Amino acid sequence: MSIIERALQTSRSQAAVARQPAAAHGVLSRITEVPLPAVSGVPPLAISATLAAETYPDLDRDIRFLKRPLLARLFAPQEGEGQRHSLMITSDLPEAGKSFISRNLAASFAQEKMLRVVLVDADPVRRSLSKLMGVADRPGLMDLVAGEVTQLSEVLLGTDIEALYFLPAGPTRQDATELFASTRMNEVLAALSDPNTVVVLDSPPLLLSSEGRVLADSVSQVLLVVEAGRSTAADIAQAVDILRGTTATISIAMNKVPVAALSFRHDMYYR
Amino acid sequence: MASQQPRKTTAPDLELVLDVIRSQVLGCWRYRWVALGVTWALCCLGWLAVGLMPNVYAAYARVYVDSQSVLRPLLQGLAVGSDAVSEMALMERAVMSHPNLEKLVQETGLARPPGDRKAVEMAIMELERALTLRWEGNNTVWVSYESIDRGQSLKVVSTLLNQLIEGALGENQADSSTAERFLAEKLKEYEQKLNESEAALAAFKKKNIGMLPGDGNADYYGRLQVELEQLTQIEGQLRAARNRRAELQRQMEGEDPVFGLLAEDETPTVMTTPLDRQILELEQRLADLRLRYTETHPQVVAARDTLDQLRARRDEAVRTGGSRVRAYSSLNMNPVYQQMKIQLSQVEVELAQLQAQYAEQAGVVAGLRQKVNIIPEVEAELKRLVRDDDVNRAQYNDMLRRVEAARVTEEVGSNKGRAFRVIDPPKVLPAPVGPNRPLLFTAILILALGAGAGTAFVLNLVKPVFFTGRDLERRFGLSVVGSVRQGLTATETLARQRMMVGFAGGLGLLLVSYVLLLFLARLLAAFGVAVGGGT
Repeated sequence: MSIIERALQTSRSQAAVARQPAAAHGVLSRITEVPLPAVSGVPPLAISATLAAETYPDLDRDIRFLKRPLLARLFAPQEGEGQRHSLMITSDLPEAGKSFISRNLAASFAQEKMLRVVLVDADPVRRSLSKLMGVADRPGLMDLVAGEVTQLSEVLLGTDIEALYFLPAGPTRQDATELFASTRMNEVLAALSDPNTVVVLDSPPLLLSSEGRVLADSVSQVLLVVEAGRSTAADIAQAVDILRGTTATISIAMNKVPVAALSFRHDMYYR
Repeated sequence: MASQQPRKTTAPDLELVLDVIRSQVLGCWRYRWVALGVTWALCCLGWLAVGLMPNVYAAYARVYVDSQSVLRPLLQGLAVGSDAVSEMALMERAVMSHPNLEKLVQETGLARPPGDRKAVEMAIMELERALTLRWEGNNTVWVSYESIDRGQSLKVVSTLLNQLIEGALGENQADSSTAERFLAEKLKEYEQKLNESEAALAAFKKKNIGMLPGDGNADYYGRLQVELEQLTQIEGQLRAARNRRAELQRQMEGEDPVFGLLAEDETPTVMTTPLDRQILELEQRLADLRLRYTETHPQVVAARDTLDQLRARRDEAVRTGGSRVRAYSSLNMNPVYQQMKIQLSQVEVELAQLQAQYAEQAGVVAGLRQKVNIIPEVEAELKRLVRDDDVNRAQYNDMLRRVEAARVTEEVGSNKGRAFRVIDPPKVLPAPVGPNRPLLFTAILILALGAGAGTAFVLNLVKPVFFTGRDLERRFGLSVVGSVRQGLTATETLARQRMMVGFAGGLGLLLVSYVLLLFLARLLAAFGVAVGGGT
């Protein structure tokens, strides 16, 4: 317990140190100069190659347009001291493209010059991000929350994008919901967060399991990904109802929008 | 995608409409395979049904119709314009009347089983539907009947023509003969009545022969008047004759002896007494009368009586003899005296005659007076009998005229056969006239496509989905922070292309089948013509 607490405290103090110049002197470059305690001895994950492999025309533009309002919300001025810029990405139904949106959005956040981004695979069942990165067998979030790992530096992985870190899901567990609901979850998130760090959590779908709903209580922002042409009004309504019962602020994004559904004007001016 | 503010304020209505349409089309597109399946299933079923529909053949004939004679009974008492349309309508009503069609059904055996009332009604309805009468102008009517059975269609048309030509149209003939029978019965009745009244009149006349008024139309009172006048006249004559006789007697007896009556010489003559000469003269006169009158005539009777008296007086004078005879003789020989005597005797004869006449006339008058109560009754009875007789005669004549008129009408009616003449004899068109398979195939294709699209539409309505952030915003009022378009991997693109090819193939195959079916239908129709021409 002491180890993780110390690690978290260290993290907090570092963040406080980092925040000072960012706020007062505008020395933004120093933020990334203070790296998070990533696992040493492991080569950085080649996430940019993965992203490059799956990109397609206009995806960057769509992600960038999506990023702007989300950042505005994450860093809304009314949020008080000790705020955590955590964004949970979920959907009503599986296969909506949560992981895809998560990694692309995280990479896009990481492009922001004053931000650090921690991408967390918070789907303990499918663990699609971890599998994609080839780190499915490494300990991760679940081990941290369960207390089996106390050092962030034992699980947090660096990537080939300087400001982007990745936290794998860890081994599949039966008590994921309970773990997510525990105070340890908040502590872990608190340890990951600082004013210049955005935590992006790729979480399970809302309608099929309860982890997503529980997790939403621990984050400040929720992005509900709706798959175009698949989710029915009833599905979406149910998902929104679930999220309204939590403390998080809800945003909605459409994914897999067919090009045929986009009007010419949108293409021209809003994308 | 950008935030929602600029979109909300700038989206014009047209764009909104296009957006909605786009979303609906994309939503329906999800159910493309269901739609294709529905379309295929409906097409297969519908095309099969059309293919199995039996061919319909039409028999036709062209008939000349003398519309006037056909329609005359129908137009009786109606003021109908004689334009072709209304005539045709009336024709059709006459031919297509329920009894006519029923007869047609019975003769052609359309109802199966034949006796069944329901089957007959069904067959009549079928006739009403499939039997066509078309007015072609110039009193020509086109008659056609459509049936899936060639032979039956021909049979129906030819039977109908036979019915028309045989004048079996309607029940007019039977009606007119019934009317004629009625009229004939009535005629007989009136004839009998007339005979009875005539016999009664004759018997009455015979019975009351003396009491009937003469031909001069004089009734009883008129006759009595006449007879009384005659009696008065005779009475007057009688009085005059009596006066004359009385004067003559006074002259002869009061002036006795008349001077100069006796002659100086008393030479005896052949006539020994003056009575002899008187007798001689009277005998001559009697003979003269007998030539003109019968023995019973009053003048003859009177003359004979006088002669008998004279003879008796002469015989008495001869018996007494002497001076008297001389005196008489001398007096008798006086010519004036002689003349007066002759006049007197004439008056007496006339008087007797008048007296007889008077008695006779008085008898007639008395007879008439006696019948004063009977004769008016007889006359009234006679008048009644005559009136009855007149009425019966008038009725009889009227009925006779009607029967004649009815006979004439019926003769006209029996000319009905000539009102219809066949121009084109019944014939079956070699090619089937229906069903219009190409049209039905096309209709089924269009309907099936519509049904498929409709299915997709309904399914989309039942499970609505969203394609753009704006759809979602409209629906939930939640702000959508962005949209990420769909990116397809090479495999996905390939799969999508395959899907499109498959879908287009499915649709294309449907169209190819449709074209093939049209071709096949034409081919079969041509084949049908060849077969039809052979039989």
